[in-house]
Amino acid sequence: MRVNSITKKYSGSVVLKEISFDFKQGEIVGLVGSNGAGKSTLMKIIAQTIQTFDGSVEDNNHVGYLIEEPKLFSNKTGLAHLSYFSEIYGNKFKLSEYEELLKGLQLFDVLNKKVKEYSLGMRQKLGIVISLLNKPSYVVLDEPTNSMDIETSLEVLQQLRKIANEWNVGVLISSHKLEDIETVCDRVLFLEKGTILGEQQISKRSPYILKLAFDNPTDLATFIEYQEFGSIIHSSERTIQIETTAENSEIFQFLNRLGIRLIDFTAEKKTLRNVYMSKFRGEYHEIKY
Amino acid sequence: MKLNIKKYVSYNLKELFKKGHLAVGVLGAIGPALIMSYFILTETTPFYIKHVSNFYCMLGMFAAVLHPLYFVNRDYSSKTISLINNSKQNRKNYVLANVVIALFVSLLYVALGICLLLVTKQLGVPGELKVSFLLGFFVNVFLLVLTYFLFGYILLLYGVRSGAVYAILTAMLLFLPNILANILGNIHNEFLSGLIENFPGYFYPVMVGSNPLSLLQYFIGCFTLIVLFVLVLNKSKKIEI
Repeated sequence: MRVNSITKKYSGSVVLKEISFDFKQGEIVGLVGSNGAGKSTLMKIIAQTIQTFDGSVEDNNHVGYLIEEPKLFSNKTGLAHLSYFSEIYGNKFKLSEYEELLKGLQLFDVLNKKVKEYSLGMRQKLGIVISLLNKPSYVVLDEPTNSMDIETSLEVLQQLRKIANEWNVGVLISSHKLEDIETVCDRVLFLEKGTILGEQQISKRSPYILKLAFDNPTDLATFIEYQEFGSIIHSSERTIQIETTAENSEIFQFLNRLGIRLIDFTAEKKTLRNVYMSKFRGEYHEIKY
Repeated sequence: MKLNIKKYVSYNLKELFKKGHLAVGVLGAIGPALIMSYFILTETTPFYIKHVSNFYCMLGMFAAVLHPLYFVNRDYSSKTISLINNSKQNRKNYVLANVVIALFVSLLYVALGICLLLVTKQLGVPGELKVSFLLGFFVNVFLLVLTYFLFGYILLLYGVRSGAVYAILTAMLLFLPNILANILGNIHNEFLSGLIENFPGYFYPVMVGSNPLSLLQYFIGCFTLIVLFVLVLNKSKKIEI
């Protein structure tokens, strides 16, 4: 799917500005941003529930979606929902095809209960299953684990990963729970004030941020010249931050070999939260103030 | 993923039967007409077959309009419409599917009404039952149901709450025609009389079970129907939920 230069305005104010990105089937892409950043609007445009905007979206004819709260009939059972939303799109609902998913989401045993008896978390899960009906090529999920506890969130994320891999479905998922995004996504897009500020690949090798303070600027210059541990995020006269996967022992051996003296050494695991808060939110505040 | 009009219609028509809505509507339509027939047959009354058809239409038309509107109201009030209102094609298909439901419902009420009139005539209710009258009844019911359904639909699309929509439809089908008929009886201005007589909000409810409409009234009725249909279609294309 390709999103091309999407711009959306509401009564003169720009909600999304020149948004472009692509994602492929089988990939899980996270969408992270503060409230009002434009995540839901972008998802609605992809799902075509918003029709008026500038730009275009390619290959979004088979998109399932759950945007904001799940929209369900309170007096129908879970099974009736699955049957209805399959049938009106011309497909017969086969329970056997979804049995594994429904069991994985702990929904199988409550399918004959009316939705009004469901907890919010169960409704969210039913909404996710509805989004996966009719064999979509992509699904768009707006904060799908919002009202779920940690254990349930994990169940849902594991099922999404499985679906993406086994059904070859591309998933675009937004969440305020950055740990969730980090657990399940292959890639993350950072959206702020209607603009994509950047993206981050989620590495399986768990990189971390190394903060070094040097005794003198010459040592820092030597370190920069010879180091091959990772990319430099920030440097000042005597300090440097690098993103690396190297072991601490390797770094100390390197420093000893070159005779570089440190006055401080901090290793900080590079979580998505760190990246978001330090890099993107940092930039945002710099622009603001 | 394309909304299948045929499947949507058949699924929801079945629901109309299963939930008993249709049974209640039909009873509401037939009940007063049967009571009227009973009085005509057992008492000395000035009433005849057109009164039976009028009593059939009194609540029958109201029920026939509410049946298809139930699905639109259900989908918009639960916001499940957001699972259907996605591509341009699906938005169009949804409108068409609900119009088809309204069409089926109107045909059902036409068939029931004609059967009722034929049976009561056989039982001895006085009055002529001409083919032109039955044909007029058929077209009138069909046009009235579709017009009022689309009118209710457009109100829902503009965010009018369902309770208010039902209240407006009740007033328009049951009370407004009487008010207009009273005004018509008391004014002697030809232009104003013509305006009221050719206003769909007057001629549909008043004439639906009584007489075929004039050519001008059919023309105005068809034009109104087309305008309402286009409005519903255009509004549906733009709606964001």
